[in-house]
Amino acid sequence: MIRIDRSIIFQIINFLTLVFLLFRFLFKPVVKALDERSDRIRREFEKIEEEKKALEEERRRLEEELKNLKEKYLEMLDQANREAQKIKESIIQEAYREAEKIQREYERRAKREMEQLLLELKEDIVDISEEVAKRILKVHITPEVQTRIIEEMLEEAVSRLEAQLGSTHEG
Amino acid sequence: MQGEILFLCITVFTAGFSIALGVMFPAIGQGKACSQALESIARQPEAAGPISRTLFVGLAMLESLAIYVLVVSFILLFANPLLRYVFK
Amino acid sequence: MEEIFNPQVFFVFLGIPVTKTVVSTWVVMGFLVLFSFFLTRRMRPVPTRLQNVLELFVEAILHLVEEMSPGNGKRFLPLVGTLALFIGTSDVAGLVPWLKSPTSDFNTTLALALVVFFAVPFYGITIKGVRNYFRSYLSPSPILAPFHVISEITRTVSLALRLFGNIMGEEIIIAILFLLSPLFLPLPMMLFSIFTGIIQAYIFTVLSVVYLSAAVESSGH
Repeated sequence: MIRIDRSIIFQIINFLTLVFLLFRFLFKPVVKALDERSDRIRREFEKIEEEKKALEEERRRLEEELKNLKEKYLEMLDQANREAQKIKESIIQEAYREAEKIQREYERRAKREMEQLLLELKEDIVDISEEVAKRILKVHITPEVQTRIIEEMLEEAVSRLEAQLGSTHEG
Repeated sequence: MQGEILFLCITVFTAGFSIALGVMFPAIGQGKACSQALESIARQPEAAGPISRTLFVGLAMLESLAIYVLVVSFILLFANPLLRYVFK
Repeated sequence: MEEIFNPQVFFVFLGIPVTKTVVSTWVVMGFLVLFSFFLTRRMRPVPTRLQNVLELFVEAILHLVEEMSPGNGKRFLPLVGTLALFIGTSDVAGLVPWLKSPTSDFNTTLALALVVFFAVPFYGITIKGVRNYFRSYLSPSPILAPFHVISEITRTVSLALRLFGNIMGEEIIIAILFLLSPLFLPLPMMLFSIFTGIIQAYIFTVLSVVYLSAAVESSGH
């Protein structure tokens, strides 16, 4: 039953033929297809990798640009701030100067008016006191004495008035 | 004639008994191998692939022992080369 | 029963008997070649279902070889893949009426084992070179050289006997069950024989790969 006969030669030849035929019809095409597929997948992967790299590059570039823009923006903001500060200061200065001018103008005008008033008042007082004195001292006063008295009185009146004016002005 | 019948009896008995013995011990060995492999797989499920491949190869080695016995008993039963000398 | 042990001889060709085994082998070969021819005639980039099966098979074999002997997958693929396909198909072919499993004949299994026996030095010499290959027989010591040779012969015989014994045993059990009751009774055993056949094909393939990769392994010496 375990009889080895010459058909073993047939079986060896059969098997080697089968190896050849299957290699020709099965393994070669299948391996080729598998290789092609893995090749294509690898290529695709490489392409994707490349695209990823390009995108990364683009992103870095954009980020760089964004940073630059931000810097520029900050700089501009700074400059604008500084300019605004300057303008503000100049405006304030101007306003101060204006205010001072106006103040001085008013002061001058007030002084002038006061002087005028003083002058008028002086004249009025001179007139009145001259009248009063004339009337009182019609009899025995020489014109020299009269003038001296008048001047004394006038001076006194002026100084009093000035003192009074000064205190009100300061107050 | 008596001697020939005795020879046949002994042959058949030996064939049957050799199968009994020849199956028993490989079976024990295979059982041990299987249980060890299962234990290892249970302990380390990620190594199931290599373990089961090695298990298959080992089982095949063990099984070939039983197969040798089977072949010998077949020879005794169906193709006994000594029959020619007994039945001249 | 008799036919299982002594296959029917159809005719004698050049002094060699053409038995039923040889005819069955031709049928199996023709089936395999036609099958693969029609499937691989038009390979598509996106595989159809059957093409997928083929690719899975080829990839499984490649994986099996690459695991044990890295880098030799494509070199061993024709021999190992054909072994797996042929043995698997032959084991199952016994269930087809009028066919006999070619692997239930010791001539076939011994032929396969002999092919592996000669393939081992063939691949060893082509990959490692003559000197390096024969030097591996002298390791670890020259005294062991005869034992290397003996182990190669015995493992070849055991490879052939294992496959033959398994398939033949299944066939005899099915035949005995068939004698007991031709209807239904052999069916579970037939189903089991499909399983056994595929397992045996796997084992034969794995062992061949082990022997081949041991021969081409360069780390040894």
